[in-house]
Amino acid sequence: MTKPVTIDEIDAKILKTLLLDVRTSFVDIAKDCGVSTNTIVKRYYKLRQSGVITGTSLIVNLDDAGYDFVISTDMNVEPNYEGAILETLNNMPNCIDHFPVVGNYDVHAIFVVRNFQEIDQVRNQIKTQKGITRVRVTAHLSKHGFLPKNLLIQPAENNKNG
Amino acid sequence: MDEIDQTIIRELTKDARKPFRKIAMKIGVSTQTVIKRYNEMKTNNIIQIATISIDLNKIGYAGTAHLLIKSSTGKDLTKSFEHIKNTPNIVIATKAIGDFEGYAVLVFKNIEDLFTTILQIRKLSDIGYVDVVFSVPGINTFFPKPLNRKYLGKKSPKSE
Repeated sequence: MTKPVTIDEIDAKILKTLLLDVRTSFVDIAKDCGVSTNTIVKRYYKLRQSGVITGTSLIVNLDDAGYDFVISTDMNVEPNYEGAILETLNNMPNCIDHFPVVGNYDVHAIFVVRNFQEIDQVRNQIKTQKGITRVRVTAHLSKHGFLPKNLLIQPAENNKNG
Repeated sequence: MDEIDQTIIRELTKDARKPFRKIAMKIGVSTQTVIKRYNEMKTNNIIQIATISIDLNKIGYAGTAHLLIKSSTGKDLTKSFEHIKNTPNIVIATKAIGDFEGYAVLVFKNIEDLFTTILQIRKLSDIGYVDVVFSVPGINTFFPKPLNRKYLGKKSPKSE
């Protein structure tokens, strides 16, 4: 596991602001914090360097490509087959994310599809894989559902008591 | 969407902070045009979110819980979802159709956090059942993940 990075109030403010709008100018953030623009620029690059900010992300409406539906699948996999299943999912062109999970299911994967036929295709393709014992398919009603404003970013409190 | 819009999206997918001036130079139009197109795409909801992705582990988050939600019989989740969407640390929430009627992602710093939030969601009157699975730490810790990478010619990042 990665070691947490200590962030202070200015760092937290930068992260919060950029989460809501990545194109907010450093000048505006600096005004908000009451520090110089240079400080914000430095902090931003430090946050990138330490790996807190891993990159930028643009979420566009998938309609344009005809991919109207987002579906998530939860599957149960026999013990030795997890690696092979993840590899298969990686090679499926419309699988946008997949990862092992712990709980009632073993693997979670997210797909984009154009129509109902494709939902069926995805389901069948997964079901016929060796090692799959159960697949649950759920179609999302909103395309991404990201809520960046809900992420709590708190500056580290000074650990005086250790 | 024309060629200009598509190029803007392609460039911003690579780096969403890329100066409009540089994008304009690449396309061969004025900076004003690029700004106008960008703002139009935001108002028309073609660009839905422009944000940074954060490594949640690095800022103290321990893990991610995926909540698979079913409503109690005969109930509609609309009201409960309004509540869920305003719950701190619920970073993804959408109603759904199929084996589950709702899908939400909760990030948490410790077990107490997790316990409190899940209990709070279970108490909502229209919710019948919440199935929780956890993603393995270190694999799925970036937020948010772009949904459009394959259609804009961006290679999917290797999971480390």
